[in-house]
Amino acid sequence: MSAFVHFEDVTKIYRTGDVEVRALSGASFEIEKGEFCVIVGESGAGKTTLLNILGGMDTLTSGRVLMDGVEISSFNRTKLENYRRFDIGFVFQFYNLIPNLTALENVEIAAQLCPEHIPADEVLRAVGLGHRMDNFPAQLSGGEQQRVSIARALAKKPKLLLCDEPTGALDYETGKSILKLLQDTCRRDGMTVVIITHNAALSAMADRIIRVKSGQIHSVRLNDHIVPVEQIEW
Amino acid sequence: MTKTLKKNIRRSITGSLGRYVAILLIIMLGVAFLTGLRQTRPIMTATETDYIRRTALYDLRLLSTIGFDEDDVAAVAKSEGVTAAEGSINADFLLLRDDEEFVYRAHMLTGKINTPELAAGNMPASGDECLADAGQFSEDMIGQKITIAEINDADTLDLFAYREYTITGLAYSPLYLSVERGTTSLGNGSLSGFVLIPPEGFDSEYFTELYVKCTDDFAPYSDEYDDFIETLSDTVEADATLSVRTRFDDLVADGEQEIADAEQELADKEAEAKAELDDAKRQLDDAEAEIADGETELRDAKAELDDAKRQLDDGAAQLQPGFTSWQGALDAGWVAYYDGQNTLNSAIAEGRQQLADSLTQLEENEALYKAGKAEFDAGLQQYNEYSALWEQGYAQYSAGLEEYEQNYAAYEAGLAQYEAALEQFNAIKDTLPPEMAAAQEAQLEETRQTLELTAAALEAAKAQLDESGAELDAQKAQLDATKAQLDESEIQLSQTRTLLDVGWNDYYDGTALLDRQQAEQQAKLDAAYASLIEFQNGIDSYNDGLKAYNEGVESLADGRAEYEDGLQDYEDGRAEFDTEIADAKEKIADAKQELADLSDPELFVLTRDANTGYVTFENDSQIVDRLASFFPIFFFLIAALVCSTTMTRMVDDDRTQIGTLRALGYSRASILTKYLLYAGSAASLGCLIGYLGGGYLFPLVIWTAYGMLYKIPGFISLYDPVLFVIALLASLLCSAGTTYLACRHEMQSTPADLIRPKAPEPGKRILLERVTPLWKRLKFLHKVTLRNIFRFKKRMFMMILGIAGCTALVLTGFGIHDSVANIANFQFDDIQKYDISVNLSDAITDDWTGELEEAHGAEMDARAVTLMASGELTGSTAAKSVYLLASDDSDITSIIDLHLNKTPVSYPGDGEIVITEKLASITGARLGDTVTVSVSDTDKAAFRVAGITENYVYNYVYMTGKTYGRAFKQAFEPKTLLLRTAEDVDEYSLAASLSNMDDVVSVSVVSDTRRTIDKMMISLNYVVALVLACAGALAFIVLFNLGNINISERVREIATIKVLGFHSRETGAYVFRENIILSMMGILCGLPLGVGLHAFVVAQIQVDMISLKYVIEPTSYLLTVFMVVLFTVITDIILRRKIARIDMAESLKSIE
Repeated sequence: MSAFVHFEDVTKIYRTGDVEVRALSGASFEIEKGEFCVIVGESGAGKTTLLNILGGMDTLTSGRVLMDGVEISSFNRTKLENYRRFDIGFVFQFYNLIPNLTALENVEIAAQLCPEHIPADEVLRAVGLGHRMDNFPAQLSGGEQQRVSIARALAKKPKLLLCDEPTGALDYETGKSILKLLQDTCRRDGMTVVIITHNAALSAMADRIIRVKSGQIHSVRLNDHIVPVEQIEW
Repeated sequence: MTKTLKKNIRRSITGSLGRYVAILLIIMLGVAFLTGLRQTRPIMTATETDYIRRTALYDLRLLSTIGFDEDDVAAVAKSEGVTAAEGSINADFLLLRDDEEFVYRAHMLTGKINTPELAAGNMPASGDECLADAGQFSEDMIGQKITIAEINDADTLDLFAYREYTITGLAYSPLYLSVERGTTSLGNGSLSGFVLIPPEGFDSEYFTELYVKCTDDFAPYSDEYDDFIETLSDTVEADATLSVRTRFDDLVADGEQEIADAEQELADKEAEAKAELDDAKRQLDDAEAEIADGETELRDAKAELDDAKRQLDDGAAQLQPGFTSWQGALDAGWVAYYDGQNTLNSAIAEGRQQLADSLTQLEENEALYKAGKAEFDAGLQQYNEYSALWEQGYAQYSAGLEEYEQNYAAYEAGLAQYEAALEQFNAIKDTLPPEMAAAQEAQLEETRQTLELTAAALEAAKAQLDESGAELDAQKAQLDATKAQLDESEIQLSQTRTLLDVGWNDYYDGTALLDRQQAEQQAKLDAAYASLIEFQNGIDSYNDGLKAYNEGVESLADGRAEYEDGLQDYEDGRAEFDTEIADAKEKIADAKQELADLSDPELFVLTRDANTGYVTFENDSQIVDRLASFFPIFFFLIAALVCSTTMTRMVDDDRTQIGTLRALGYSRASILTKYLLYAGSAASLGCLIGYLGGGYLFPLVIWTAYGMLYKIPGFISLYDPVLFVIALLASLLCSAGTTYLACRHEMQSTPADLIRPKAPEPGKRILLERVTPLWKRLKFLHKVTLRNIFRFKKRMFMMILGIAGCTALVLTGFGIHDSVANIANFQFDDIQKYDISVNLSDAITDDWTGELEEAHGAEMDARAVTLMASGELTGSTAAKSVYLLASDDSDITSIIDLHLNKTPVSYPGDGEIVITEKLASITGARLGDTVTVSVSDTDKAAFRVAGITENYVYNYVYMTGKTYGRAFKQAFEPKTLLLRTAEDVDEYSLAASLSNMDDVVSVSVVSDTRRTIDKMMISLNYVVALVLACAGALAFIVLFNLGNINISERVREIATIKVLGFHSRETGAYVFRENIILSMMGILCGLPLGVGLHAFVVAQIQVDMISLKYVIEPTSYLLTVFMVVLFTVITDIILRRKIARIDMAESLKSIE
C-alpha cells in the first residue's frame, strides 16, 4: 500500500526559448494521509513548482505523482480541473479573495462547486468568523481574510489542503493563529495538510519535513519531536 | 526626459503591444473614416474635373432648327470668350444584332471639344472606321464592323457616308459621364451606346449641333463657372443667331430662286413631255393604218388561199376521188404514176425483148444463111476447084496412060530383044567361056531383073492408072453429085434469102412500132408526173401561203396588241404626265407656301446642365459629403472612449511604478509625458496611416462603386493638409487628451499613496439585492456577475457606451439602406403611377387623344393630360425649385396618388396647391400657408397650401389647370400625357410607337428614371456598406479592447477561480457573462441612439432630387443586434483563449 501522496522521480523542466530551467529534478517523497507536512526551501529552490504539480496546476516533465492511489501526473486538463475542484483545497499567501463577494460568498463560490461540501456558514464559524460572514474582504483584516481563504478551501472537503506561505503576508501573531487553525484542522479532522514555506521554523510543528534545495529533495524527515505552534518562534 | 524614461516608454509599448495597437487602430479607423469620407467628394470632383478638362467637355451646346454650317462655326469661334467651337453631327441609328434592334447614337469625332479617351485600340484613320462606346462594347469587338441597318429611315441612311464602319478602338466620351446612355425616338426608345465617327464618315452639308468651349479657369459646378457661362451663352447666342439668321435669309433667297428655277424647269419639262407624247401619238396612228393595210392584204391572201384550196381539192379529187386529204390524194397519185411507169417500162422491156429475140433469130438465120451461102460459095468454088482439079487429074491420067502405053510398048520391045538375046545365049551359052557366059548370064540376069522391075513398075503404074482412073471416075461421080447438091443448095439459099428478107422487114417494122408506142406512153406518164409535181407544189405553196397567212394574222394580232399597249402606254403617259405636272406644280406651290410659312430659325443654347451625367454627378457625389460630415465625429467619440478606458487602465496598472518614479524624484511632467507620448504616438501613427490609407482607399472604393453609374476614367488622389491637421488634432485630443484626464488623479496623489497598492474596489451590495425575492431566485454565480458589473462602474459605463455607439452606427448603416431602398418603388408604384410620359409640341387636343385611344387604347390602363413646368416655390424660410404639375383631367387621381402616411390627400381645388413633404420642410411651408410659386422671373402667383403629400423623387407642386391658367394669366395648354400601360405591355415598344405619333416631341419611360435612381441608391448602398464595415470594425475593436482590459484587470481573480477548480467553461462564463450582459445593455441603449443617429444622418444626406424615408425596417434592427452579438461572440471566443492561457501561478504572485 503506497503512501497518500507519492512523488516518484519527478522532474520539471521549463523551457523558454533556448533556455532550459530545471525547476525540479528527480524529486521523490511520500506523504501519509493525515500528516501535517511542511515543505521547506529557499526562494527558487523549486518548492512552488512542487506545489503547482501537487495542486494540479501544472504538469510535470517526467516521473509520477500519485495521490490517494490515483496517478494525477497522467491527468488531462479536465481531469486536473476536477482534481483541483474535488480533491484540493488551496490557501494562498495573499488570500486571493474575490473582492466584491462577502466572506460567506467567497466561501460559497468554492463550496457550490462540490456537491458534498460543508455549508459555508458552518465552515466560517469553524474558522472563527461566524460574526463577519457578511463582510467584504476589504472590510476584513489580513488574518481574517486568510481564515476566509482557509474556510473556502475546507468547505470543499478536500483530500489535501495545500497552503502556500499561509503566513507570508501576516504578522507574527496572526500567522501563528493561522498555523494553529491549520494544525487543528489536521489533528481534529484528520486532514492532510501540506504547507509550503521558506520559513524553516515552521518545520518544528510538522509531522513530516521535506527540504527542497536547488530543485532536488534534500531530505525527508519525520519529526519525532513535534513542537506545538505556540512554542514556535521565528 | 531621461534616457531611461525613453527606454521605459519603448518597453511599455512593446510590452503592451495589443493595447498600443488598439489605440492606433481605433484612431486609424476614425481618421481613415474622416479623411476617406471627407476626401471622397473632392477626389471625385477632381477626377471628374480632370477628365472633363482633359477631354475638353463642351461648355455650351448649340442647336438650331436649320443646323449649322462652317460659317456659323467660324462666327461662334470668333465670339468673345470662346476658345474653341466645333460643329458636330449626332444621329441615332438602328443596329441589328441577332435580329434584335438596338439604337446607337453616332457622334462626329471632334478634335478640340469632347475628345474621346481611348480605352483600347486605335483612333479611326478613315471615314469608314469608328470608335465604339467602351462602356457597351467589349474589346473583342475591335476590328469588327457595325452596320447601319437598312431598316433605318432614308434620312438617317443618307446621313452616313458608309453602311459599315470598322471599330478601331473603344473610347470613353465626356458626353457620357453617366453609364445611362439616355433615350431616343427610335426603336425601343432606349439608347444602347454611342459610336464616334470621323467627319468623313458623315455625308451631310450641315452640322446638327455646335459645341463651344471656353476657359478652364473655373471649377465645374462652381457659381463662378455658372455665372461665366451665363454671360458667355448670351454672347454666343447673339453671334450664333446673327450668323444663322444670315444663312437663313440666304437660304430663303436660295429657296425662292430654286422655286423659280423649278417652275422654269417644269415648264420646259412639260413642253418636252408634251412633244414626246404627241410624237408617240403620231406613231400610234401610223401603226394603226399599217394594221388596216395588213388586214386587207390578209383578206386577199385568204381568198387566194381559198382558190388554191379549191384547186387542190379538185386536183385531189382527180387523183383520188373521195380523197381524205390532199397528201393522201397526192400519195395515191404518185402510186398510180409509179405503177404506170413500171407497167410501161415492163411492157416496153417485154416488146424490146421480143424484138431482141427476133433480132437474134434473124441474125442467127442471117448468119446461118450467110454460112450456108458461104458454104455454098465455098462448095461451089471447091467444086469448081475440084472440077478443075479433076480436069487436071484426068488430063494427068490421060497423059499417064499414054506414057504407060508407050512405056509398056518400050517394055514389050525390050522383053522381045531379051528373049531374042536369051535364045542366042542359051544357044551360045555352052559354047562361050564360062566366065563370059556368067558375065553374059549376070548381064542377061540384070537385064531380065531390070525387065522384071520395069514389068513390076509397069504393073504398078498400070494399077495406079487403073486406080486413078477409078478414082477419077468416083470423083467424077462425086463431082457430079456435088454439082447437083450445089444446085439444090442454090435454090434453098435463094428461098432462105427471101424468108430472111421478110423477117428483117418484120423486125424493123416491130421496132418502129414499139418505139412509137413507148414514146406515146412515156409522154403520157411524163404529163402525169408533171401534174403530180404541180399538185405537190400546189399543196406546198398552199401550205406556205396558209402559214404565211396565219403568221400574217398573228403578227397582225401582235401588231394590234402592240398598238393597244402603245395606246395604253400613251394614255398612261398622258395621265402620268398630267399627275406629275400637277404634283410638280403642287410641290412648287407647297414649297412656295413653305417658304412663305417658314418661321425664323430658332437657336437653342444648352449648357452642361443639359447633360444628365454632368448634373447627376454633382448630386450623387454630394451624398458622400453629407455622410462625411457627421459619421467621423461619432467615430472619434468612440475612439476617445476607447483611448480613455485603455489609458486609464494603463495608468492604473502603472500606479506603483508612477509612485516609485515620483518617489525617485521624477517630475510629474516627465511622467505625464510618458503616457502622453505613449498614447500620442499611437494616435499620431494611427492618424498618419488612417489619413494616408483612408484618404486613398475610401475614395477609391466609393469611386469604384460609382463606376457603376459613371464611366470616368482615371482616379486622382488628393491629400488635404488642413484635413490632416484637423485629423491629427482630433486624434491627439482623443488619445493624449483622455490620457491626461486618466493621469490627472495619479498626478495629484502623493507618491506614498501611489506606492501602496490601490485598495481594490470594495465590494458593495447592489441595488438589486434589496429586491430580495428576485435576488434570492438568482443563481449564485449570476449574483456574482451582477455584482461585478456594477462594481466597476466606469468600465460598465464605457462598455455600454462603446457598444451602444457601435450599435447605433450599424443600425444607422442599415437604416440608411432602408431609407434608400424602395424609394423608386414608393414613388413610381404608389404615387406617380404612370409608366410613360409623352410630350407634345402643342396642347393635347381631344382629336389627338382620340387618335391615341384608337391606336393604343388596349395597351393603356390609364392616362391623364397634364401640364408639366418647372418653377420655384418660395415659402416662409426658403425657395426651392420645383416641378409644377397642373391638370384638369378627371383621371389625374388614378395617375397621381396623393397621400401622406397612408391617408389620402385630395387633389387641390381652385386656387390651391398641394406640395410635397420635403418641399414643406425645406421652404417652411405649412398646411394653410400661402406660398409663392413662379414659373418665370415675371410670372408669379400666390397659392394656399391645401395639402402636403408624400413624395420621394423630385419636388412637385400640384394644381388644377384652371388654377394654373388663372394664376399665370395664360391659356392652360397641357402638353404632357402621362399614361400607365396595361399589364404585359412593354413600355419601351409602346413608347417607341408613341414617339412616331404626330406632334410628339419626346417620350420618356419611367423605368429609365427608376433605373437611374436605383443605381444612385446602389452607389449610396456601397457607401453604406463602407460605413457598416467601419462600424463593425469599430464595434469589434471596442468590444475586444474592453474585454481585453476586463480580463487583464482580473487576471488574479481568474487564476484564483481556476485554482479553485472552475472548469474552463465556467471560468469563461464567469467572465463573459458580464460582457454579454453589458453588450446587451449596450445594444439596448444603442438602438434608440441609432434611431436618432439615423434620423440625423438621413436629414444630412438628403439630396435635392430625392427624399429619403425616416424608416428603419425591423430586419435592420435584427441584423444590427445580430451583428453586435456576433462581434461579442467572436470577441468572447478570442478572449476565452486568452483566459485559457492565464497561468494559475498568477494567483500565487504577490500583489504589486
